[in-house]
Amino acid sequence: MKPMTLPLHISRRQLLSQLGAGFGGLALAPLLSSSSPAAAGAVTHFAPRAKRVIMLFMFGGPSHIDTFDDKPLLRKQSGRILPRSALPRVLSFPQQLGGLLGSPWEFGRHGESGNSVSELFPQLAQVVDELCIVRSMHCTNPRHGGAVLEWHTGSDTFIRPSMGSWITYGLGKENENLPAYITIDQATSQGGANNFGSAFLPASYQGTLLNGQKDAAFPFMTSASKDHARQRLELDMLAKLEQQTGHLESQLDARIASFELAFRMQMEAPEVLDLKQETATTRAMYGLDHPATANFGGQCLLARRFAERGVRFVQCNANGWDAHAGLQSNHASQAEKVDRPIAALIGDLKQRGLLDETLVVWGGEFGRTPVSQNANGRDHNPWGFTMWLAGGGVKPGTVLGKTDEYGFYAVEDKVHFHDLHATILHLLGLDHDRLTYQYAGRNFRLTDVHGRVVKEILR
Amino acid sequence: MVSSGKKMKLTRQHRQADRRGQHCPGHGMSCCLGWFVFLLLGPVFLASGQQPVPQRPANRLPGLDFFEKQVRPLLVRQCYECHGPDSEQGEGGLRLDTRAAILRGGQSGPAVIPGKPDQSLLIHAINHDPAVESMPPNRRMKNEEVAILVRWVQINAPWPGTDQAAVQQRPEAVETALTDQDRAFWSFLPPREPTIPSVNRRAWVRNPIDALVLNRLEQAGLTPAPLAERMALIRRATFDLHGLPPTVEDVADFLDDASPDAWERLVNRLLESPRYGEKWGRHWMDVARYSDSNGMDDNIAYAEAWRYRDYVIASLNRDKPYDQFVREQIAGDLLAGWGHSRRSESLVATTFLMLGPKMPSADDPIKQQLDIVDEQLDTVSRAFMAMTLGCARCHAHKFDPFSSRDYYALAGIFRSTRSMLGYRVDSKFNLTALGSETENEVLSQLEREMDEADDILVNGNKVDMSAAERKKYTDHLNATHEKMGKISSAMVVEEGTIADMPVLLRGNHLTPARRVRRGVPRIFQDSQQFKVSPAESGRRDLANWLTHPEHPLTARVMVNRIWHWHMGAGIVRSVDNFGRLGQRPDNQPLLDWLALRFVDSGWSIKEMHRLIMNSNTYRMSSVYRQPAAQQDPDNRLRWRMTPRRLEAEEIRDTLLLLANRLDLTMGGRMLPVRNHKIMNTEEIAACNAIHEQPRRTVYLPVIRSGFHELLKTFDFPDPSVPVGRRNLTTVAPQALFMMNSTLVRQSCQAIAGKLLNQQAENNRQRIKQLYQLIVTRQPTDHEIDLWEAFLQRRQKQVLIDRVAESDRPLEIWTSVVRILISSNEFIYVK
Repeated sequence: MKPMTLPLHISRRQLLSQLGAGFGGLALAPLLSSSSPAAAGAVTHFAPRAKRVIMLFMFGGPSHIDTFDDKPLLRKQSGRILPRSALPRVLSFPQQLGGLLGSPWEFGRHGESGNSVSELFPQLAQVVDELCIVRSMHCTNPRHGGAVLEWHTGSDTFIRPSMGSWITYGLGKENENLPAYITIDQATSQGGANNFGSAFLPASYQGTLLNGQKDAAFPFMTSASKDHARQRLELDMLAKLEQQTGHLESQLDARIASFELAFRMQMEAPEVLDLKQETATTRAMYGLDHPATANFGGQCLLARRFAERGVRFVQCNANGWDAHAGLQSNHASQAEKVDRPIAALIGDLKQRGLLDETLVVWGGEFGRTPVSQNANGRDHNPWGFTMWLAGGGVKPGTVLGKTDEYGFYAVEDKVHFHDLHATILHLLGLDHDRLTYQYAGRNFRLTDVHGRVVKEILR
Repeated sequence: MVSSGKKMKLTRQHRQADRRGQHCPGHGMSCCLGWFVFLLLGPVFLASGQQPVPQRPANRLPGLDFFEKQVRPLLVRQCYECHGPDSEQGEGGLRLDTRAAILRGGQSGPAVIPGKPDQSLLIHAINHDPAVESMPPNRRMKNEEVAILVRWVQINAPWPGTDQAAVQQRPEAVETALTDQDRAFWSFLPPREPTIPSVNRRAWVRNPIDALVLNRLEQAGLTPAPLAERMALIRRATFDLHGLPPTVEDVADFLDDASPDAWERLVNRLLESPRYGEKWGRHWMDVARYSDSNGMDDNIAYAEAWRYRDYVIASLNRDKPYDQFVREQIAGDLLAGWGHSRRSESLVATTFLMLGPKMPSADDPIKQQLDIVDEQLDTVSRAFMAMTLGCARCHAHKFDPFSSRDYYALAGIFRSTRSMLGYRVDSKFNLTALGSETENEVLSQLEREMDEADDILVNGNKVDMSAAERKKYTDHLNATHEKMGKISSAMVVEEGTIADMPVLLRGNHLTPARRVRRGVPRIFQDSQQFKVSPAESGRRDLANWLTHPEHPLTARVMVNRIWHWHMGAGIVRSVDNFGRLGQRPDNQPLLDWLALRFVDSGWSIKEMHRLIMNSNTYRMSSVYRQPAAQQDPDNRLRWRMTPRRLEAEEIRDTLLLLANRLDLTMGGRMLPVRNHKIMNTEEIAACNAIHEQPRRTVYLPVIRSGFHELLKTFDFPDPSVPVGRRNLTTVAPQALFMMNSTLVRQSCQAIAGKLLNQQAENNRQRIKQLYQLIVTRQPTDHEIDLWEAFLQRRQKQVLIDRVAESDRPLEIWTSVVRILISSNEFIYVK
């Protein structure tokens, strides 16, 4: 990318009102605040290790101690009742808590790294050497909404721009004809649109919600060629009329350009959304032909297609991990839905040479308690859980951090959401201290006054 | 949790102790301490003067023997394991082995304020005050040991090797001294009556606004734009005041009106229509961060918020004096007691304080309350004073002269105000019955029942509940909600537990410092005279102070907002920030003149509209002139009217109006969800269904975290913070909306259908009719030629598409309408 230049006749104020890196921003990167490197003309604060992020969000809170954080002692003492005072404060239904519950799944060591993954993820275990597993995540809010907001926006107290908005604000667009920030099938409850909203950042940085995969479509686009022909005629007429009024004002000209851009996007979007263009092998690899994996497989395949076309931030969403009861059936079916698609995504990105420049992040809003709930479920556990990263500048085949012997608390090399946010920005070449937006009298950051780049996991 | 009742008690006892402080007859220190510790179980501070502070000879600190014999061994024994010389940073960043380190403190702030045991964290900690982290953890020092440290702090924490200068060095970040420069900042000085300047083009001046504007233009060698044409003027005025276009008949009447005061009468007529309150009410709702739901984690339904929306619209339509409007929103409950004829209106106004996003699922009750207080304080400061006082919660404001002390003085007022029933997890917001005091008692009883049942169900305070029992509570809860729903009530504040607040170091309630009297920021000249009525929260006094005619900000901020909404930019462009980081006024004499007239007129907003709209400054054309644009691209000198893009609501309302679909019913409840209910997918879908109703957009529910596609696309402001100036973006999704949305398609079809039903001799006449309807002007001949060519091309296309012959005219004219609706001329008010 070369540094952008700005046409001289457009004033800064006009730029403020017109430009955006988000969905349909015009051909220029934003000049909104000197603290966005894209705005300042530089590309990033320092050399990036990744150009984009694919977030695999496991909504509901997957259990760390049944997936990536093996607890032999917990298994050994399964059934033991701990004194209530020894338990962390659990908010949802403490009266339903029971004794320690060992994982019903076996863990195996895989790959050259020999890192352990439970049998819930047989496919993912095959690519464990690509993963950088952080077993010492923690956040502060024990409830879905709060923790989901904490992860997506850095705040469970105020409405703040989402991580994807900050990233597109910081990096600008790579592809003019696609939204820079896309989230697929994201839940509209628990913080809802705030989780992909731009809050006080201009609306053009908000995430574009893509609904469903069967007939995936961006809002307000038509794919009928009959409509396209009519619209071409209408837009030509519109341009002629606007020439008559003969204004020299860039804000008015920008609006005409926005119609042309919209038209181009509409022509190109169906192509990127059309998964039939993929080979049968690829489709099978992502699990598109199995009912259990078709949905998330489709999301992951779309994510790869977006990544190829320069979309900055893509989020795939797997909802339903909230196993307060029936952990065994819940997690078995949840894991089945995502295991093959995620393994396929990582393999596919790698094979296409995209993994090095694409940061993949996996995780939910919290983990689950080592003690049972409703006899066979687990409650929320924000004090210690696992997330993993892959590609884009992180150390492959590594594990960072520890929880205690039962898995209640992160105890070693603790990584808070703020720290992971700082790290993700760092990998994209953005300094979390310097990526700011001035609003209501002060500079805001994704990490507020917190955040530490987790240097230990950087390659 | 420390209940507020308990806190209250402590405070009272504490004050008593303070009064007795000079003499504590018959009690040795440890005895006194014992009394505190065991009877109060709260923070132990020795009242001042317990041991008179000895006069110190210069350069020689007293009590060094005391330190060496008693204090140092104690610190070593009790504290140095974690905070000693071998602890590197010390736990929590705190080391206790040098005096400097103690004064600097750790993550929670200074450990000791010399001479002030009651403000010293160390003393709170060793007393195991629940508000701070107890030290040493898991064990308590003996009373005698506590007494030693209290005494040591009280005698100014002597330490060998330190001189007196060090003693006086107090890390007092919570309070910064005000400088002359702070006081001289323009927005803190009262508005000054400007001299109305003399100008060359005197004939252009219709009122002093014009003189004040023209003076600047002439100084810059610029000329004002010619007056706009009448058709453009009536379109501009109607959109400005109603958010809707003028009807064809309105335009004809205005064009035919040859009287010299035709314009003034048009403005008056527009101001008298109830459509005015709907348009300007929406402006105020932006500032009031109006929403029908909480947003955040638990997106709770604010099912009574609509009453506030209707209050705002009615207040504007009646031209309620702005000072009264402000007072009611801050303290309406106090201004009109039970039985007062305006009780319910005044009460509903305080919904303003309740509309913010809250975090009822926060499991730290004190923090939950303080976050609500913070939101209220920040909103009040920004909405009425355009000041960002919220910044001073954790440290002195980085740019404006507000200290944390100022913040907590103001915060005390809101903390003495009750917004929620409790502050536990899933707490519910407060409701007050509108009818009578008796009815309110019934409601309060129901609220208590709801709260109890809810607490049991949600917070699990009853362990081992059987399914039958659970059902019993659930049924009871539902029945209670139903009963509550039958009582007309408003979501409003009440007076709470009245108390001053301590400054919280770094905004953390676990590190309270000394208490500050409730009050207003010291930068304001009259802050010294400000006193809260002892038995009240202080909201009434705050409201009166804000609306004092000489307040330097209130009138200026509002006239600037009005100017911004008319002109597209404020005289101070940063309409929500009149501080150092905000912009300076482009024309301060003009701003001051308007502010003074505003107060003179009895704070009449409608009078302000007349004043502004009757000026030639307002009536200028928006025609673009290259030389002027080069010299003043932002139009700060006002050499023309700035074209204004229609807002989201205006686009929707206009499309519905032109399609003959707009339902002009006013007010009422629109949210299809009961109070307190959490809005999930189903409820949000129900709200979006309401958006299909052709009511004016101002009446459609605003759901934080789920607002309507059209609103989102066209820069509807984030309803979680006050927004006086909306973003204005031009992005492709807006174009896609015009090209493909159902609203635009249906509206264009309806307009085309209406057009085809009208009598017309030929296509040329149809085009003319359409231009009048949509853009309020006559098309040029050349434009008509272009359209005729388009009609032919489109005709060919519908043939190719095999559209049935009977459908062709509608299909073709729908295209024509859509193009005109998509044009700049439609979406920009010239």
